[in-house]
Amino acid sequence: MKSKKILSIFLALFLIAGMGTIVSAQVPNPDRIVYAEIGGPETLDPHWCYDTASGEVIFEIYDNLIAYDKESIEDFVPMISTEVPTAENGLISEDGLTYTFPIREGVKFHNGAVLTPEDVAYSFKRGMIFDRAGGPSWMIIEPLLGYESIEELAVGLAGVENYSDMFDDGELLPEYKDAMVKVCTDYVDKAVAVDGNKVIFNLAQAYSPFMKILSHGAGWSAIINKAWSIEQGAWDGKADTWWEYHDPQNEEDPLYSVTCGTGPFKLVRWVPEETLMLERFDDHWRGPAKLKEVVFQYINEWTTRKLMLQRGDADIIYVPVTNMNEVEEMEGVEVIKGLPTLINVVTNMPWELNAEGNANLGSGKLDGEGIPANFFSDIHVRRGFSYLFPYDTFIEKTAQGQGIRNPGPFPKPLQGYTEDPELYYQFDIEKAKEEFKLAWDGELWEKGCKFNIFYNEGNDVRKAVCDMLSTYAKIVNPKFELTPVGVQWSSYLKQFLAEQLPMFTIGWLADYADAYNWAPTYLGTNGTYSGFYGKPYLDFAKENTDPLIEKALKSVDPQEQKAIYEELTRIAHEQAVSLYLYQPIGIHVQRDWVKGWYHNSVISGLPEGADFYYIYKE
Amino acid sequence: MYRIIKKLLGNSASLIGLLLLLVFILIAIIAPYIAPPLFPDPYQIPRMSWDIEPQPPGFSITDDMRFIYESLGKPVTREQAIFGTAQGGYDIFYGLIWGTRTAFRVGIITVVFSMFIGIIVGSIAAYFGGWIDEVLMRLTDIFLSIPFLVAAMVLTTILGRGLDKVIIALVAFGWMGYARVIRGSILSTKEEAYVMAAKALGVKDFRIIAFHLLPNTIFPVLVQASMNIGSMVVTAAALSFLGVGAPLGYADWGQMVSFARNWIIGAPGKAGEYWYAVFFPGIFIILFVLSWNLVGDTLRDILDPRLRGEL
Amino acid sequence: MLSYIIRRLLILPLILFGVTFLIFALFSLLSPMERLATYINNPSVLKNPQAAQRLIEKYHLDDPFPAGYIYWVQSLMRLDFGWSPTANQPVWEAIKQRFPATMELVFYSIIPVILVGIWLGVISSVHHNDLLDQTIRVTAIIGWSLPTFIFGLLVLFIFYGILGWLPPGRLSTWAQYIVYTGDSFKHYTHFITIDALLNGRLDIFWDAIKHLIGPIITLSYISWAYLLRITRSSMLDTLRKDYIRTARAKGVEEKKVIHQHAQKNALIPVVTVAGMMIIQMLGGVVITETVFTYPGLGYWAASSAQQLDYGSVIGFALLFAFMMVIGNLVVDISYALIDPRVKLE
Repeated sequence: MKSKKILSIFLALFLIAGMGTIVSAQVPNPDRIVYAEIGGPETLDPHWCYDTASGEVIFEIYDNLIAYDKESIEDFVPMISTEVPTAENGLISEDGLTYTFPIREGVKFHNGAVLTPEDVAYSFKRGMIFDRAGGPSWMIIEPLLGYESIEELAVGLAGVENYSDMFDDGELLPEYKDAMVKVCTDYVDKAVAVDGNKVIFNLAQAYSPFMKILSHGAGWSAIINKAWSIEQGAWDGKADTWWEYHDPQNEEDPLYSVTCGTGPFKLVRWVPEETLMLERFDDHWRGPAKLKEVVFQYINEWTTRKLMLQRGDADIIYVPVTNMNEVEEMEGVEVIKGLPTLINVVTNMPWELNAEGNANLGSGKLDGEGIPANFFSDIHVRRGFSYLFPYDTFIEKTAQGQGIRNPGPFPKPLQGYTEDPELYYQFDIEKAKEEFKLAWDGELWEKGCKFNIFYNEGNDVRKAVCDMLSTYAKIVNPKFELTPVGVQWSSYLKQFLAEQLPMFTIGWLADYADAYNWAPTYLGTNGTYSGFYGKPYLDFAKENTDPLIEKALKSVDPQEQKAIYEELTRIAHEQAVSLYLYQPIGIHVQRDWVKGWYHNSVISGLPEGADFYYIYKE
Repeated sequence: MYRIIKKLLGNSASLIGLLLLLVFILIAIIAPYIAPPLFPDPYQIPRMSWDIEPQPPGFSITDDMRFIYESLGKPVTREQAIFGTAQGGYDIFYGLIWGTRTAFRVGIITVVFSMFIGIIVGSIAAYFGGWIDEVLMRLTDIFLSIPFLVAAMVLTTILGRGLDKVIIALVAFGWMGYARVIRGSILSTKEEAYVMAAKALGVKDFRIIAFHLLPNTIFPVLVQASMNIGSMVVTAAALSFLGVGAPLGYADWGQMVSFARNWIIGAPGKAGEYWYAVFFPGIFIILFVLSWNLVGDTLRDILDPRLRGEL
Repeated sequence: MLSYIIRRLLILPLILFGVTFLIFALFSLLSPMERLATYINNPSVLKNPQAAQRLIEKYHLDDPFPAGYIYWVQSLMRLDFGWSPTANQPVWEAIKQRFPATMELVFYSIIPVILVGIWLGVISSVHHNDLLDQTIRVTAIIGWSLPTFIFGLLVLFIFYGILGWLPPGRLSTWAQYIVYTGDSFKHYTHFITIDALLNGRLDIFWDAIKHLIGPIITLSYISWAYLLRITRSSMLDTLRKDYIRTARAKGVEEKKVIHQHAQKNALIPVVTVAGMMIIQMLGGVVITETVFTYPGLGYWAASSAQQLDYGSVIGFALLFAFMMVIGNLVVDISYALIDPRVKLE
């Protein structure tokens, strides 16, 4: 008897629960959009933010001086500035060192305060002095101050070896105070000046991508509210306190979870790693957005996200390309394909590795049981591997056709990208054989080699890259033994920093849409990746690539820049610096009642997410 | 002993369990014949294609793959993936066959080692008592106070990927139960006359523990162990599911299931189109665990002194 | 009894110390650069090796083991649990945010476990060894053999994917809006079901229940199989006791014998087990919450373990250990209260 009772209670529960959902699922709320994606924001402080999830929220809350013209990554429209500076309208000086921005009047912050030029200047100054380790501030410090970090500048002025030498237990030693104050008064303050309703940037060097660094979508150039920020406990704008606000611990950042921008949406509630809710800001200067509420939901499980979309509980979701087939035929769902992204994936071959304690090199000699530390400094080795990778199979099968090839470090459609077939390596076992026979004076072909190649665990795409290289190497010569090794991310990072990885696959996502963001990264002496290629490469780069990169940066002529970047592509191809695997193509998946979506490859979170200002449901 | 075997065979549940176990043992033994390896490391599952998307049962090996294996001097003997392929083109059939060996290895090695540690700690604590007991038991408490799965995850993440690392992690945080049980039963037997007699005769402590106490107290531990073999395999599978188990492409059931994680539902209208990706590995895990549990459960009933003579 | 309680409470700090020490020692097996991986999930944010060095110094990653531990304990003394890069908030905030969610899940899971488990256990023992008993037993064992993640995904598939009844997460978006924003919804207990009732919001109550059913089934199906076993053997044991035989011999109705005489006594050990099960479930939420993206402690603990976020792992482990010691103590005391024969020593 008891069993029936319990059973009926359960049944009743299910029924009632079921009815509830059906009612609420059939009426999608026209004023609210739900976007389900993975991984939530790290912070809401624009100057801390250097991750996509934070960037896309800050994009909705804060405005910049200028913005990209919808899909374009070349043309700008005014935002907080009333005009887009160009050489023609005289707002960019001829030497490319001064940029002037007339500030829009009557723009309101979310707390009702009116935006002033002083707020704009403060935003950039705080960005410069904030400069957290591993943060985005270098992008404004480099053009405005000419250094890589504010610490580098301070160390130079104070004449000490390390920044930390100036402090004792967190307190600045008095003898360095003058130098530190000077950092602010002589450099930071002078870089951004206010003149009436104008803000003037005085650059330390001509810097061709500067406008792109300022454009909407770049959190580090977002305009924040000075008075409000100081109220929250952020830097008071004074020259003799800035170091107390420089590179704080996470929990000490006062703007970590509070916002006050001028953007179309204001923050209602952020529950980290769970949900984030935005609400329309009715006094937005472009006029209020069409949607009333925007909800970001952070759901790491793919199956769950998919079901939410299927049932209409989510309007837009993030779909990994590998699972694209599962949503393509879903009723009421729109899959937009072929969207360009500014990402590329590259397999690097450092010319000289750190041999110390490096187990990846086997015997450390070219005796068939290992490789010497400078194995890849031989151009024939690099060329051999460049011919050995089945690029087309990889893109078609592993990337499910959602990718294109790059000839060198530059993705389509940036300068330096070209479709010249001469500059692409094609999978060719015979050619690879020829190259390997020439390598190391034929010694490599005779004795063979043995080393580990790495991928970070859980990344099936990179594992496939390793497996392909390993199997084809063995086909070319049975004495070529490349062992694919999957390691934890922590171990991968450690070996990367210690320059111990013989071949490693890694991607680069644009900070801003300019070839200059890619050239030093993959080719320069101080590049994020090429900086780890070892001394032979650095010597090569100093001679061959650095001058070109520098020239392109200073150049004001786009045609000249294009020629230089194409020259760099040619060098990269000729030297076979890396295996340029592919540039992924993005997809966007939404319910078909979502309207007003467009794609801009440089805005954080696109193509998966959206610029919600223009979105409406119908 | 004879009585136990007779009961095991007489009970239909345990009979099924034993038969299943036998089948698994057989599969593990003849693995090289039914699924000849293509790589020097037989636990490396061969790919049937480079496709990320799972392919259905009966999928034929692609031409570029056949070329690879032939160039490597490994003629392809199985043209088709009879259970389909998992995410990444891995042959499910091959993975399951060799995964049987992996399952036995993980289950048995883990249980034997943790039982060994547990017996040592438990018997020393119980036999010597006093502060030794206190220290060892507090140590046990500390290990017990960390949730097993989280602790195992942390340790595997730190040690890096690999089945050996998984085993170490499972042993390091899996011995406490045995220690407690053995301590409990030794405490209740150590005052008995024959132990006292041995002590009085000057038999060494070690001999008393090993030859007098343990043989009389080990049965409950064995029952626990037999049931744990199954659950250890599930835990290892869970670790793979959470992304810290065996390396990618290793013949391990847990990983095969985690491969299926993103494909469990399939496109709408084609619900369950990837059923094979979860069904075959799932059924192998379930049956394996089930067989140990059926045997262990019956063993417990037989050995439970309170039930003696009732069955 | 009082001295027993005090003694057990004195052990508590020792265990908490041991737990933190053990985990910290484990993490000190890693090199500073490996530990940096907790904070950096893409080397592209490091412009150069100096940035890596700055980060290592900033987060004290190169402190040798004892110094690092002492540094951590010192901040703990100031009630500062540190920062969780996994949760993107302070560890303490992360615990406060997730603890009620997990407790709510565990609380509701234990109810069906006790009801179903005990009830089936009693039936199984009464019909000892006949077909019903065997069927129940085998079903329990099969349940026991089903890995949680497969079972959970199946539940999600059937009840959400096909039927659309049981959505994942903790609340629907519309309900989240009401619960998390504005002042109209008061948080009394942080159990959303209870708060919803106290606020008189039946719609939110139902929404919360709908989200809970899937995780509850997944979290509890293994436990009821276990409880069934305990109940069954305890009942079998009791049914053979002299007083039951006497009762039967006196001609007391069989139903009465079972439900009044036997069941009462047989359930004493079951109470203990059920109490410990609540604590064990706290450890078992890891997979359930991951599958259902239920925003609780388990979900968080799993991702922090993967990211080597030691501050968060220790935070979770400390909480778990604390609950465990206190929980065991409560179970012991209640055991002593129910069964006067038991003496706490």
